[in-house]
Amino acid sequence: MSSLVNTKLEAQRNRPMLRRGRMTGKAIAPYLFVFPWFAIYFGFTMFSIIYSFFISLTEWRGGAAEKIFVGLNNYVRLVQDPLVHQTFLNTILFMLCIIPIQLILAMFLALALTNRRMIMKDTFRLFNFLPYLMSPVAMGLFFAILFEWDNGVINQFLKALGLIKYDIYWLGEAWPARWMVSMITIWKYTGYDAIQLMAGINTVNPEIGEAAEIDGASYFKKLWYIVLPQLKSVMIFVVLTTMIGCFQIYEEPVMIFTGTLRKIVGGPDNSVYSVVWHIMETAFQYQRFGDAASISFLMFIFIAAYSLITYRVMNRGGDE
Amino acid sequence: MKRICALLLCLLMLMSGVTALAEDFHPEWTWPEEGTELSGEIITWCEGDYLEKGAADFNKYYPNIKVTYVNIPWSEYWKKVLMTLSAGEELPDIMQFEQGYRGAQLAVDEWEELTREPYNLDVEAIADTVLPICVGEDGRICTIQFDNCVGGIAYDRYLMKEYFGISEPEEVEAVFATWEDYYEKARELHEKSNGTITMWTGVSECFRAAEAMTIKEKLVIDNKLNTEQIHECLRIVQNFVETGAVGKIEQYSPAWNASWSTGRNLFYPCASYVPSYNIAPNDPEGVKIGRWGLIAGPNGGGFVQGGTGLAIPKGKSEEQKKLAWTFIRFMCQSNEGATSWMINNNGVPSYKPAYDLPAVEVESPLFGGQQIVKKFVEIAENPNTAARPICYYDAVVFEVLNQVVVDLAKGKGADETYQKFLDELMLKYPELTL
Repeated sequence: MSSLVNTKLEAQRNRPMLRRGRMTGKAIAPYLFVFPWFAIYFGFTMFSIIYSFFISLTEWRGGAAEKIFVGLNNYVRLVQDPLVHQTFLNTILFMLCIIPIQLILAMFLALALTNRRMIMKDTFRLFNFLPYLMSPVAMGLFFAILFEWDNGVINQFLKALGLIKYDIYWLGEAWPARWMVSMITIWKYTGYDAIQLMAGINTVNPEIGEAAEIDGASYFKKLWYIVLPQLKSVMIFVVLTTMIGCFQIYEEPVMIFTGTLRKIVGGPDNSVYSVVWHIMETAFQYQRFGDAASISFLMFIFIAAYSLITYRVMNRGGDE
Repeated sequence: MKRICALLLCLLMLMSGVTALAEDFHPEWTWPEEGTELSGEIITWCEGDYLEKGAADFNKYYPNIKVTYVNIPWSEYWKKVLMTLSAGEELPDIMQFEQGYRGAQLAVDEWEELTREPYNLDVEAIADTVLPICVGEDGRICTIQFDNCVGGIAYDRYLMKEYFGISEPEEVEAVFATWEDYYEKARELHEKSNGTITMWTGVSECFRAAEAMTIKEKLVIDNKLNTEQIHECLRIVQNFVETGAVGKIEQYSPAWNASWSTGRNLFYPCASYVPSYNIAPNDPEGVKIGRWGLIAGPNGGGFVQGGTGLAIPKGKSEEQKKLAWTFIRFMCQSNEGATSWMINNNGVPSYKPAYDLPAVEVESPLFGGQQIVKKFVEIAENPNTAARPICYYDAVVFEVLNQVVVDLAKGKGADETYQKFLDELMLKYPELTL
């Protein structure tokens, strides 16, 4: 008991002190340390968000043009806009194409790269992460060559396997274009997801697996009954971040369809026109900054709702 | 002491007031000044080294003016300008406006009017094919192109000889005189080569040639679409697709870049920047063998496509404006700048008086010694060549066209494609009417 009292007294002595209503140097120090972070956060994040919301309530053509306050008119109009519907639908289709494949591939990679018997693990880990670091310009060129209609590598490969008879017009048809963008996204982000899952797998207590092994459990049984249940929280995180990533798809379709002087905004039949792409076009092509800011906030609401539902569904019965 | 301080303060305020007034009213500049008297640095945002190469001689005349070229791709250019303006940041001393986006760019009232004091741009000296694409929809001229991007058709001399037995530009022009001649020869080419040689690399390239030759009127007048000419252009592309002589390559793709040197495609639309910008870097062998020839389009005319306008942002200091205008005037309004452009870039200047200079007769090894600058000037002076006046909606109209024209490659008809174009455009700009 006396040691507890001593500790409390010690803590009181070390606590920043207020003397006669004035702060001493020691008292100010913690605030000074956290000030730069708060200054940057409020200056660059909070201010931008609040200012964007203000812009979303105006009609503004950018630059020195006058901002005309229109209240919620932009929102009312945009929720009825077929092009906005199309971009949200495209995003959902991207999620359906990307998330399952990316997750399975990332899990496969993570399991392989954490397996004790795997050789050259570090080298493969590096290769696994390289696509994430690749510059968008190089990626655009690389995939433009792969997905060419005439003599493209992918078409040649599919023909050689006997899977297709005629060349697929990747850049000219809606579904091939969607799959192309999905494949690029999967290729780029699978390594990143694998890293997250590897971190999760490494936290699984190996003794449980060893005990199961002694009891005669096979590799797949251990995976199903021990590893996967313990990865649940990591999986939720990976699914949510991938989902949010799908909402923010922009760079991949843009570099493929507008990387040259010949811009095809939205791809064939607007099939790869993502929400973020539409925001950028609305602001910097149509010069409707108010509309662009409104779509951003609609996207924010949509992501928040979607994430919440996904979290609830995935986490059912998980907190006990 | 207090009195002295007050006096100094008053003087300071007076001086700043005078300076502000001076910036509002341009003093009379004396033109031309001796090159050595001017010194300083100007910054311009540009894509690639297109301007830098052509302006190589500028420092011979103005050795003390340093020009810094900051490379920004066209696809990012306007976005960057709008972001800079919205953030209240400073723009460079010289802006560059690519033709495709110029309508929207000139609609923003941020640029100096070049026909007014102290610039006094000489409008009479601007080529007839350039002037319409420098005038904003409000009738003001706030940008001036240094290049005259008039265009014709480039052809592969070797393929032409092999399949049609001719190779000189005059002979080729006589055989390919109308679109009907092109269709007929396209069928012939397809049959003779068993489909291995194409007349156009792909629908996008074919469309580019057709639209350049047929769309000569402003696209939107008072919010009303003037797009029947686009319908006509789509019919031309459909006719070509039906001949079987249109390839599967996307314009400006890596395969398209490679196509210049493969000897498997006969024609390319060729604006005056194409030889230095597209052909030379992609076909190094072409220089040695003189692979290319240049002809006018059907009916002897040509087209006007692309081109880079220079502009000065408002709000710059008097000194910077003066330096910027010195550069623009050199490039766009002087024989020296025009010669530099013709010699260093094989380009066609926008400055009309320069068409009588000997530099026009420069021979291009890439085109087998053909005097291509002279040929471009000849095409520009043909009455069938006209520039489409720019409008605010230009960029988006062509973006939508790029999007729908691929349908023609999939076997859809021109009428269906045209209807889809209208639907897409109205979706993006509901304020437009038919």
